[in-house]
Amino acid sequence: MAGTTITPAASYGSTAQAASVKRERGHIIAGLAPVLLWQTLFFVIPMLILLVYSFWTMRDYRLDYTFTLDNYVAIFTNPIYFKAFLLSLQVALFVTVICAVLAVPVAYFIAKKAGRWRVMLLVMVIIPFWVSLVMRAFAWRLLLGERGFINRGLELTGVIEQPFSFLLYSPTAIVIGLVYAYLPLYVLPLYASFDKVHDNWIAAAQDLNATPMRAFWEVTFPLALPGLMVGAVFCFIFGLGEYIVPALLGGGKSLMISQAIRLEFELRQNWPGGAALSIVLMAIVMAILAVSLRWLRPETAR
Amino acid sequence: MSTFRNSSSRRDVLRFAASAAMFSAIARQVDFTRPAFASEDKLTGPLNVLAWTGYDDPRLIEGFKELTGIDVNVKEAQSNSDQLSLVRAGTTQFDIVNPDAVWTTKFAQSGLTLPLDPADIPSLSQMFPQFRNNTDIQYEGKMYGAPTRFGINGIVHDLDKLSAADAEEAHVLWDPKLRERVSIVDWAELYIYMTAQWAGNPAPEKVTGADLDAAINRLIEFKPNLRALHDDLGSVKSDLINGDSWAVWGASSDNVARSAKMAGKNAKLTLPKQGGAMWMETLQIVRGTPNLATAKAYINYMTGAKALAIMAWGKEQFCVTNAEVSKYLTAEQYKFLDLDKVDEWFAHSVVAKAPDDEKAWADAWLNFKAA
Repeated sequence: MAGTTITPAASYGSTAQAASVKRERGHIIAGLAPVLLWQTLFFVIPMLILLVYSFWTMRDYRLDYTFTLDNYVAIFTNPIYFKAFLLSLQVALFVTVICAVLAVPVAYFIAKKAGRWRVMLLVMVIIPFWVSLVMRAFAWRLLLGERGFINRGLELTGVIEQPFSFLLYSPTAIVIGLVYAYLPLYVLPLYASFDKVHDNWIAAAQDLNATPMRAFWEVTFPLALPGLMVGAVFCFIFGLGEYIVPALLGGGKSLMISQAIRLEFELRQNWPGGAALSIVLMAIVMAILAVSLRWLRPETAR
Repeated sequence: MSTFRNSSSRRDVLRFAASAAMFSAIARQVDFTRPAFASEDKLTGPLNVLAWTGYDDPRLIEGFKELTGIDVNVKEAQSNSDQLSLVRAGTTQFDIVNPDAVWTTKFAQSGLTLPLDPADIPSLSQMFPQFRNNTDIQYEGKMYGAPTRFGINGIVHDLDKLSAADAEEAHVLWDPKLRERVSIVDWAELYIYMTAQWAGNPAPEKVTGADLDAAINRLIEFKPNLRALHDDLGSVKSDLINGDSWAVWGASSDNVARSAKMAGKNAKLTLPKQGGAMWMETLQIVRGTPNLATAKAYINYMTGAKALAIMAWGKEQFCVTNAEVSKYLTAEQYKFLDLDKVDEWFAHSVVAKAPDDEKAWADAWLNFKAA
């Protein structure tokens, strides 16, 4: 017991430490409070409302509050919804892969080669976000249309005689629009990851006779994988629920899940049906996030 | 009483005095002459109107204010369903809504609108009878909507790409020479109605079962010729003007043709010999309005020839249902608005009706979009 006697100084120290921990916890709670409040008001509560709606039905344009799973049964038994989900998944996946291929060299160049131009290049990456996506999609229409700048330019330079009609209102247009919209979302986290890779580590690899290419693939790239993953998650999730670009540039010719949700709410006035589709989409997004987080944690720890 | 006297203090007296002053202040703000619900006689306001674009014309709002002294707030609606959702949500107490006639049943059945007394709307007698007597503005035998604007749906075509003679045959829209050259808008009821109409159904609004399947299959056969299916009229117009599409089917064709001509396009509206389909929009009173008398006055004002002439020659340039607008428009304006063709249109088309089986039509449209 003698060895464990607590002196007044030690007691004061532990009290001060406890107070410091308490203060720190208070700061964390105070810091998180606005975010939690925001998320509760604008995400959790609306999602709960949607969830509740999804178990009701519409009868004669009025809500019938009887609990039912009919809306979910309809989603999982109607091949149209399956097709719409599948198309959205395919488009999101395709756009994510293209964004990844384009983002890696861009982010690497900005992080490692741009020198004093780095800030300016980063601003250029962000600039499109200053204008709303709707306006940007309309601008793409002006570029891709038959009398658009691209076709006109190709005609004037004699490259083509007849304008390309496939540039607008086609899958090509959807991919162009989505890649353009989401590429910055991919470049930014990837840039942050490349930036964290110390030049010394690359130099060490090269000292050990690694070629620049080998140093990139065996040192830089693996260390930048968390950024690659974060970018992929951003691109994929946003692409999955995208409405504006497929509608404005794709010409609304194929049914993606976001359009199916709109049809349920608007054309069919079936809010519970639309709510159920939204919940299923949200569940898919959450599942993707959960899987990527499981993958990201060990990667980040490494 | 003695207890009261003993317990009351100067502080209590002050508190009672403050309460009395507060009550008196509040009472001064309340118009006790106004009934709590649906004032029938007194004009009250301001009037909140949820309407398609065009109703916010300052001349119309000023005109109503001069007449009644009441301000009108117009919120622009993007679609019929948008109006239904906003009125149903009840976040803003709208007094007037402006759905298409074919949506009358949905609003009335949802308990969102009030029946109108035709005697309250003297200008009804000035309207083209085909609109005034249309059953789609009624629900359970009562009139719910007062018609204001209308349009016709046929084929608007670039004359350099498709001749008027070719466009007189509705099936040209399926011709491979128009592959990826026809734009439409996301207007399910219209396209199913017209396809069924062109297939020879005498009452297209009644098609269901095998006839509906046939109509949707026919629409799916049209898909290779589809350039784009837009959410808005503006995109359809710009497709035609920019040459991305050579023809526009439906989408309020007379209005599309007018815009194309104004943009210098060599375009024409042709009604196929299989017939065209007309649409009309209405003004309806929202159930529970605290400004009932004003709402009625507004409908009467807005369906009058003078207001509709202002509307017709406003920024949107849609046709209007009052036959006497000619008194307020020049001959050129009247002709440009195609109001001189109304008799011809009625002879070759019908006012499209709401489908009997809306759910089946909505399912069918989903099939078409997913195909």
